[in-house]
Amino acid sequence: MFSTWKNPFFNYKMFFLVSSGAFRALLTSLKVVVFTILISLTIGSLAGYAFARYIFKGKDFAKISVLFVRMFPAVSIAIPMIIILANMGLFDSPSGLALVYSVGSIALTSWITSSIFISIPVELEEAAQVFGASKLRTFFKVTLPLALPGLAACSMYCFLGAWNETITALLLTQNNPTFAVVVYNTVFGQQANFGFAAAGGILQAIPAIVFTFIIKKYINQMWGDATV
Amino acid sequence: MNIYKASRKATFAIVVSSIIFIIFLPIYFVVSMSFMSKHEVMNFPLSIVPRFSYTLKMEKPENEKTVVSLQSSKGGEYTSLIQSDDAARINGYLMNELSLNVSKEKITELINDASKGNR
Repeated sequence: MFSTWKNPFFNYKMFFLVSSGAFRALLTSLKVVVFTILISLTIGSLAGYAFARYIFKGKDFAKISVLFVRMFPAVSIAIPMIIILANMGLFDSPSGLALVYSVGSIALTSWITSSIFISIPVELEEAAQVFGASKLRTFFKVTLPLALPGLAACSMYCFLGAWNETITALLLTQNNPTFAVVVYNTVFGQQANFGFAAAGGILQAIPAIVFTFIIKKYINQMWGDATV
Repeated sequence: MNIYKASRKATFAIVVSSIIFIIFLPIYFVVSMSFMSKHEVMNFPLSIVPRFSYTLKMEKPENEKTVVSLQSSKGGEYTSLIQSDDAARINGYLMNELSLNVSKEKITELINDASKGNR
């Protein structure tokens, strides 16, 4: 009879050994997330600003139409997406996947930022312009810092959406899968092992938790935790 | 306490316990399962807390191969896991099924002890 200690991190070690390319997938996922946040925040915040500050023909229709893209399930538009990305030379690449994720994220980012920009007094921008600042400088120096909590909330939304998304990534990647796809394959693939899958799930959750905690203080500002 | 106040308290308790069951319990089980060995994960019912050590027994019945048995978490009864005299095979089995890293030399030593009837 003999007693021996178990290696509690065995599943974590085996997850990386069994799931070939898990490290590469982790890097791919990070690239996808960074690209998605950059594209969504850049286009979404500018669109949100336009919706909040300018009056133009068809504004309401434009606001509603950006949400149309979210009404179609990813699976139903997968084939056209594959063809378009293949023609653009972006199939199976992080930037291609980021473009697809950005389409959905831009819609919500523009809606969230538009409501944030509406709440920022126009007088502040007017005052900056009275002191000689251009419209672009006013946006970047006055409006954008005040809208930072809202942008933080949007970036968190984009991060979580792109990081955890599996179905689209499964369809639009072949040799460069994201980390979510690797975890999915561990659960349903040939090496199906619940212990490895659980370890993969925890590993996938860690970056999301860390990012949420980093961004938390900005989101708290939006909810009145601190003065802006 | 009037009925209105009691019903409000009961509703609050139901909501809180539902949140615990729907959100925290699955998260707890995933975290717990990630630290479990394949043998623990496949056992029913699933244990709430993962085991961190195992007590094993090696027996060598006459004219038969060595039997490796595992003591249950509550102690007492043993369940036979594998019957082999091959140290490499036992080492692989313990590694994959129980997440144990017992060297082949140690296993050979234990098999020899079992055959001598010392263990």
